[in-house]
Amino acid sequence: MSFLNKKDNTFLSTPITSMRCRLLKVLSYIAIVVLFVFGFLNIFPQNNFFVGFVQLVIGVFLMLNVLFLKKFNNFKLASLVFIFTLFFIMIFLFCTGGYQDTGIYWFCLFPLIVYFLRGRKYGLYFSILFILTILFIYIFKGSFVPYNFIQIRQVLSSFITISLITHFYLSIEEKDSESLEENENKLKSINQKLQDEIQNSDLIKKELSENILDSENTKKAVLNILEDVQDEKIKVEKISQKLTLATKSAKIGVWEWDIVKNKLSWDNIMCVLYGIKPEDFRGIYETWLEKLHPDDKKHANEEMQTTLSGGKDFDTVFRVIWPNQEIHYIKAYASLESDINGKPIKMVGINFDVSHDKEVDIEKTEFVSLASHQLKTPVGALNWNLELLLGGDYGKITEKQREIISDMYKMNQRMNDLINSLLNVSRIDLGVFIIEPVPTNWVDMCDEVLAELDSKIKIKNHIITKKYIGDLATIPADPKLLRIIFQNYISNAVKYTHGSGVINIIVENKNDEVLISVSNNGDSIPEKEKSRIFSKLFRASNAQEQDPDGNGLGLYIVKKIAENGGGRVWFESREGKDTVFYASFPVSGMIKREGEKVLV
Amino acid sequence: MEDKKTILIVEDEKSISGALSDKLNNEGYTILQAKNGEEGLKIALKEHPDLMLVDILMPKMDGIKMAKELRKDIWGKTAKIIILTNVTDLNQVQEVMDSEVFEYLTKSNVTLEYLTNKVKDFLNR
Repeated sequence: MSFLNKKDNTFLSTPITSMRCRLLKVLSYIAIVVLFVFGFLNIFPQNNFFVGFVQLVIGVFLMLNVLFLKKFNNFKLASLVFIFTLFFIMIFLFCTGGYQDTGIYWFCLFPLIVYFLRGRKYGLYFSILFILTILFIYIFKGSFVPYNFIQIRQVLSSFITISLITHFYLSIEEKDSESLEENENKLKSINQKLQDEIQNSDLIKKELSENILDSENTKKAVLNILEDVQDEKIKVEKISQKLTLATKSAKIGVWEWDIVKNKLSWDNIMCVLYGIKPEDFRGIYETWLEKLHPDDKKHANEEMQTTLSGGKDFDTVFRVIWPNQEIHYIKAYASLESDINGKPIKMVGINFDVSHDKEVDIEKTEFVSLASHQLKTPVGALNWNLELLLGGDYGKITEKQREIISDMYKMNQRMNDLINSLLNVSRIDLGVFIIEPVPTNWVDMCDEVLAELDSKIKIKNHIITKKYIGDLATIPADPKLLRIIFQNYISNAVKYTHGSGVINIIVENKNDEVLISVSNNGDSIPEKEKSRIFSKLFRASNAQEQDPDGNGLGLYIVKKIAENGGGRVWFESREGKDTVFYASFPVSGMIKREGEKVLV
Repeated sequence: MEDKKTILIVEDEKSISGALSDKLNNEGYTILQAKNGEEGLKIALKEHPDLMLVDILMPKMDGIKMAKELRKDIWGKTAKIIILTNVTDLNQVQEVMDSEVFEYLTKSNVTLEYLTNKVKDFLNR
């Protein structure tokens, strides 16, 4: 029954079809009512039972057809069923003589109904079919039909006339409706186009909204980034403010030199440091160079060239001469920026005034120098005068006097030693002491020191053994400093070994180093004090007992001499056995050290 | 007594110059004394001593200046000088180091005995 279910949407979709559908329903109802009325009339008052029964059956059939139409909305089938049913009724009535006299003119309604229900094509076919059927029945079954030829001729002519009128009327109407349909189709296509456009525009709108969303997101992201950048900017500004504050308060001048363009930029502090006004600054490398003290110009320029060649950062001190002839010490530091090929492009640096530090340094040195002179003068005077007294230059003295003066003399010697040591330590700490290595005979030096200490050694009855190994005649050393090392090591060994001890001295040139070792079999150094033995003003507890007069500076001085001269010192101390102090230098000797002061 | 050598001591500290002159006097030298460089220069140019013992830090004129001034004189150019000082600043001494007739001693670090021997050596050069 798929054809029943086939909904004819094309028909229903047009206004004509829906109108025809309504017409079909109205005609069906009229036909049903008429059929039922005439059916009952035929059955009961006229007793024409057969005709009446057929009429009632057809009436029920038409009712079913209407229900079918309502249910399935299939106008094509329902209308054809209706037309054929009507066709059948009329032929049936025509044959059975159901029409009384002029009743046969009802035939003329048939073409009208077909035309209006199904249009011109069906109207024409059914009219022809109807006429041919009537003519066929009349010609071949004339006796069967209760109408004469005149009646049939009149009916058929009326029939044809109505058919023709309807046909032409509809053709006119169809043209109109065609044009209407055309317009409608046009409208439809326009509508379709519009719909498409709307759809397109919807798509575009969608795309646009997506784009807008995208761009909104992008905007958000950009805003976030901008916010971050803003934050960073604020941070950088804060840091820069802090830096400016720091450089300002510390009076640090900042400069930048574009090497390619030879453009030198100074901040205001730089101008202050060079004693010039910002407007007098010409902004090229040579401007800086010409402000320098003539004695420092060459060195500073060389340092700068070293930095430019990528050697190291610029880090030096030079003097500048202000326009008012004042001399200032400037500490300068700068680093180089190079491009990918290593070509220098920029240098950024700082300057600050260290004149005050320099002045303090000079004052310190002068103070130490003055203090030493002031202290040493009375000590020296005492020394010589006591020596004269002891020597009997001012007359004979008693034994008691000799004893007392001798103690005073020794005490004064100690004072002198202490002053010398303090002086040396201050020079070491100030970093101003000189190491001036010359070819030195280390054996002679050791023997000299031993000779100086001979009296002390004899008093304690020590046994000294000496071992000189390898060539030691011309190893470079600062004689004064080498003497200090021997003096400290040997005199310590003498001091801190109990009577009749054994002191072994070895100086050897071996394996590219010169090694001095002085051992004694005295008290060992307490374990917990070992780490401090070379520190300043430290004395081991048992050393203090043995010799309360030591000043705790000797080993510190030895260590500093060795370290600054390219060597090293260390010791070994074994409980109950011996204590050995070592000093080692490369066989090339002590390293030269520039300075201002010698050690005494 | 013809060969009795004359030594000029230029020293502002009395106890030092006193000890020095007593010792050297006992050793048989003729002693001249000056309290500062200016006085010392004057005496030196007048008396032409065989040896001068000169302190560095002194009022009016220091020992370095005095030595320099002496070197300008024809006699003074080759006069024998021993600088006696407690100053161990190398730069100061360096200026007058390059002379054969020059010695540099730190007072407090030498005994009078040692100094006397040095003087003897120097005079025999």
